[in-house]
Amino acid sequence: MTDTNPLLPLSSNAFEILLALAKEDLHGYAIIQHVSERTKGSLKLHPGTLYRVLARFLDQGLVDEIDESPVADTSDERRRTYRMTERGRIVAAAETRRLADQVRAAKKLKLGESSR
Amino acid sequence: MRRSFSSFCYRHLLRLYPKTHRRRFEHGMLQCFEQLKHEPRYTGPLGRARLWLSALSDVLGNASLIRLSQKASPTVSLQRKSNVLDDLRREVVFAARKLVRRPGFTAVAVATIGIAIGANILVFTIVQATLVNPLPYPEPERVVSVWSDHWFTRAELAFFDERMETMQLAGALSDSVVYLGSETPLQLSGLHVSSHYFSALGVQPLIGRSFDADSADASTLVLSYALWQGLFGGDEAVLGKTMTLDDRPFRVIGVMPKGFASLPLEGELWVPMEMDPSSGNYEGTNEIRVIARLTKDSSDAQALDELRRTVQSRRQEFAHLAFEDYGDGATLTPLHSALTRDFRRPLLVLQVAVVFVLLMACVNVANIALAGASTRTGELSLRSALGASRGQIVRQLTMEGVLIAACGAGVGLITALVFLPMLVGALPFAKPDWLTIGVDRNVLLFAAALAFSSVLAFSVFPAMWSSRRTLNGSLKPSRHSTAAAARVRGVLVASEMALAMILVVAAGLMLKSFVSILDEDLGFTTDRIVTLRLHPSPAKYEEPDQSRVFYRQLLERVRGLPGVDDAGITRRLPLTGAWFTRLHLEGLPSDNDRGHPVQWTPADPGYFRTLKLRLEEGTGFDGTEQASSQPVALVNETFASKFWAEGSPVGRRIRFTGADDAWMTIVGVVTDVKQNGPDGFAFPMIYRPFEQSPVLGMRMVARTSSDPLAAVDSIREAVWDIDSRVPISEVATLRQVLSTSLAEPRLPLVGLAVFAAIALVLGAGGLYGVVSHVISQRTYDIGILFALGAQRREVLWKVVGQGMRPVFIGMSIGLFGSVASSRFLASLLHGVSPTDPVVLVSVCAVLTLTAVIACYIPARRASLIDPTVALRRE
Repeated sequence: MTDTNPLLPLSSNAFEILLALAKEDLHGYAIIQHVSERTKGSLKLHPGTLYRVLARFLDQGLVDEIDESPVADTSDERRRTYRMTERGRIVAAAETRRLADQVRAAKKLKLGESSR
Repeated sequence: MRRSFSSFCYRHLLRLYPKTHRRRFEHGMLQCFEQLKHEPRYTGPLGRARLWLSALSDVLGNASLIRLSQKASPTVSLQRKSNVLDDLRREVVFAARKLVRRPGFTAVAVATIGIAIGANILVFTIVQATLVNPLPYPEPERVVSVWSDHWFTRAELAFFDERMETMQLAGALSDSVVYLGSETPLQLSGLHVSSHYFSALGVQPLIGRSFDADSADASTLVLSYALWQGLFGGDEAVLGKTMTLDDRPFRVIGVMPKGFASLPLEGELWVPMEMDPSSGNYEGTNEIRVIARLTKDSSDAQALDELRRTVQSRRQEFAHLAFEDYGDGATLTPLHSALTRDFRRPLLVLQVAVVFVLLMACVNVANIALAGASTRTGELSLRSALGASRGQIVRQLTMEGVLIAACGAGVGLITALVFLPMLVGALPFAKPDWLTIGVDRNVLLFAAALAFSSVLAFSVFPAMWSSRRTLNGSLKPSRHSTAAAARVRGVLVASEMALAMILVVAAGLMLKSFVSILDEDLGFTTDRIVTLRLHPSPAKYEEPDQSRVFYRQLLERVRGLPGVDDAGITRRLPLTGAWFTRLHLEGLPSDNDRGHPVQWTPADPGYFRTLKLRLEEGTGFDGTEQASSQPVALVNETFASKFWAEGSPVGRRIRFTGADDAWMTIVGVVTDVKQNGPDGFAFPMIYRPFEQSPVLGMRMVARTSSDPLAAVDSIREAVWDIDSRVPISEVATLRQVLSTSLAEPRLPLVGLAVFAAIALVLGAGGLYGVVSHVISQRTYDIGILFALGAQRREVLWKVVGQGMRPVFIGMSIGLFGSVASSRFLASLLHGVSPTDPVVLVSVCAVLTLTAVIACYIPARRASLIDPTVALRRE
């Protein structure tokens, strides 16, 4: 069992990146697009933030880097794709539980039914 | 892969990252940047500015974070780190001591840089908030303003809404409503909006719901946050309550969140628009503004293409309606650009001007620093003789610059924070909800970037220059090095003068343009006139006769009030525009048989007397006009000269293009008034007697015998004596109305005037400093001149002449720059050419005079030098 505690909580940027990678492997710009679409444009990742977080995830073993063979786009030298590792999935699941727990507590206090 | 220039710059920007990170991710980041660049919100000049601002803050922020986290990691030698920090601290302390020892120089330098950075931050904050920051909606770049020759009618909106697939259309129509639930009757600005309005903007209510897309109940309404707080104290129980507006009940179903931007028109509450096409006509009430949100998978080009096709089919669909004037033109403009169109140019001109001011400030400080460095040659040479490398000397001099710039940025930031609220208050437009003007991360970053680049400009280059001279030279300043330094300072003075010339010419042109606006005859008097807006409830005054009786009674009372000389009513005041309509002229068919476009307003005879509008011809309204009598109208001079250039229009007949409208006889010609703003266009205009064209919401004008605002209370009482439920708003003197309408041309004028004044002071100060320094260096030469028999006057003019040489060179370059850049100003000018010779000559004279004074003061001191003392100094 991986100890995920030291890695939590994840920043909202970091969690969004894991969410984007949960379904499929993506390259950098595709991650930016996925996050923007999911949050209806309210969160716009920029390359600097994206790759800082990806660098950390790679070091922590939450994502892997795969070299995609440049068949479709021959003008491009190489395009790196990122894939969530098993450890990444465990951490994302742990973060989901943590957030769900907080939401449950907030609902119990009737927060969020309507807010000002 | 071919990279563009912007990618080239971005790649260099990535050098801020540690090498390891760059090696791993540079390629990916560049690819992301390349693709981001093509997103709609980053295209166009403003999009590019937005892209670079976000790229700068993204890279600077993240690179610093990564570097900091690496520093914190134990792999870097602690010893080395502490050495570097110690060195740095020592240099900072040393530089600070040096600066403290020269308090005069330090104070002048910090103040100069501080004021310039402060002015830059101020202008940038406004520019960023207005032109760069996107509208507060999700995916704001997809929200566009739709326009096709005219604003839409209900029928057209429904027609387009049904057919357009690339975008979701939403219409808004503004309407004032009367609310009687508070202490005094309130006039609220409401918007009739079509059912997709909130979803097109992409904002959901804070509480409750918005209108159902399919079956909007016409008696429901959504409140703005401010109104909810103001009228209901933010009570959530407001949902389901009934609010009576214009004596009609509406049920509150939702409240929009704080900061929701009501666009394209401002509104405090929203009610569903009745989409019955028959409820539309062409006379002002159907000016529906249409916005749209492009669907996810459609591009701008596809949307425009579809719009144009639909415009074509509209032409066939509505061909039978004579009053519609359809052209083929259709445009889609990003809503943000459409809103900011009018102030983009003035703001950009101010931004450029204020950057010039900063450049001048840097040149000035560089000049003082150079002068300082040349007197410090001995000290620097000694340090180098004792083993300091050139790098260390440059670092020491630069560190002084860094401290000055840091203090300057601090002073600038404080200045900006103090002046920002004042500046926002003086903006020519009431600050709309969507505009948040404030100092944010980008502004701080901008301040840091300015400080950084000013250090480069006024510190690093001069430091490198003087360190080179120091290492080549001896411990004592040589005559040769002094001459070389003088040449460099001459170049700096010339460049300052060139910048000052450009700024002062721009300010001079704006001033002349403003004066020419003021000089124009408004066509009416503004002396002691108070205006207020009345809004009787349409439910109570359903019949035109009721409205006639109300205003008849009111005017009678107000004219009898002590202190009121005369009073009248009109729908639209001068300077604020008027309704557009179309007219048929008897015996003068229009080209397309759809009538001639004109402006019009109803007004009573008292309006013409109160504002002293001159009657040029005919009889004017005499007060006998009745609903049942022969319809009449007055026309303005532009109308008369456009349609009846030869002969008189009096006695001719005109009628509105509606099928049932009766012929009206023209009974007089009144002088043109500036109806569309002080620098607005003159348009053919007609006035209809109020009795024959009664409208409910009117503006009253009253001329008083003393302070016009003193009469407001008694007028208000007179209104509420007749009907206590009539809201009164927009109380102002006509002078205030004029002043507000002048605010737009005043903004670039005031901004440029302030910057030009700063430029003059900086230029004169710089020149004074240089001439003084040269004299102090050349006291010996001056002594020799005296010894050889030169007269004081000769020495005086020789020194002035030498000082003026770079001034004239700079002014010539500046003159050339002014002429070259004149087209940027042209659109802001009214009644003056951008190369107006009077302005150019006057500015040359002012600059020359300022420069002569700046040279004369130190030169006079030189002419009083005692030759024996001077010769002994060498």
